[in-house]
Amino acid sequence: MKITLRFFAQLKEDLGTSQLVGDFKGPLSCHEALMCLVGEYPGAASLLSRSALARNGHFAAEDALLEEGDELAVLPPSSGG
Amino acid sequence: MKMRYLTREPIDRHRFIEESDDACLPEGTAGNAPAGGSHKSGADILFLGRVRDHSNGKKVLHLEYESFEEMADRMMGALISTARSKFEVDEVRVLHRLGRVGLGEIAVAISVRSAHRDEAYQASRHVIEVIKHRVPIWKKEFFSDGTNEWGSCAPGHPEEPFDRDPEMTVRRQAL
Repeated sequence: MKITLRFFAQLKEDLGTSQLVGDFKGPLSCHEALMCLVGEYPGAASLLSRSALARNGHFAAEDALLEEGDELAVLPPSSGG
Repeated sequence: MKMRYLTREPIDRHRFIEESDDACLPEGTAGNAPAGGSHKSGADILFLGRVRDHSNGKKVLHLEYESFEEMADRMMGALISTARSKFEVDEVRVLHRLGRVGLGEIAVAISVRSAHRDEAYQASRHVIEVIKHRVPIWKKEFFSDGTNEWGSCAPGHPEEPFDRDPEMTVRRQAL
């Protein structure tokens, strides 16, 4: 299933892109998608592990299952304000 | 999608206050607000987060803010609603900059109006803390030595002070 992954801030710079479309074998949880990213980008593992996940614009529990066409945003620790 | 709480334009303090005055009035009467807005609010707290010239021992030149805009804007709306009900205040307004923000410029403005000061102070503090720790906004600091660095306030998914609902539900606590 195709999942759009979005990256921001430091993570966007570390991965060299703000967006990827991944083709994953389902069923796949948000956490499992994150682990796939860690596998692909081991240099960003530390920041990935400290990032929150948002499925279709809402914070997602790690065990939430992704569906075809979902957007998974990987959000590094925030620093607004 | 039009953003309600994020802007790439400079935030003008006086205009923000005037708009906060208008926000306290019944719909349709904006533009004719008396100073201080509605007279039901005795406490009027304005928090302005400005760009300072130093950070972690280094001289700052300017900041740049980035956001997951759709999510951040929606969360700001939910945060305002939650803050109003949790702290029982009359009005809460928030405006956060995106893009490049220079020294001394306003990066975030928060206005809280309430009958009394206790709840206004608490609501104002709550809003800025949630923005810093929860809302997907990131600042990049540019230093005089030519380096730059993304700021980091908190873990990406803090356990406190929220319920298991990861969105804007806030437990009503004894104040």
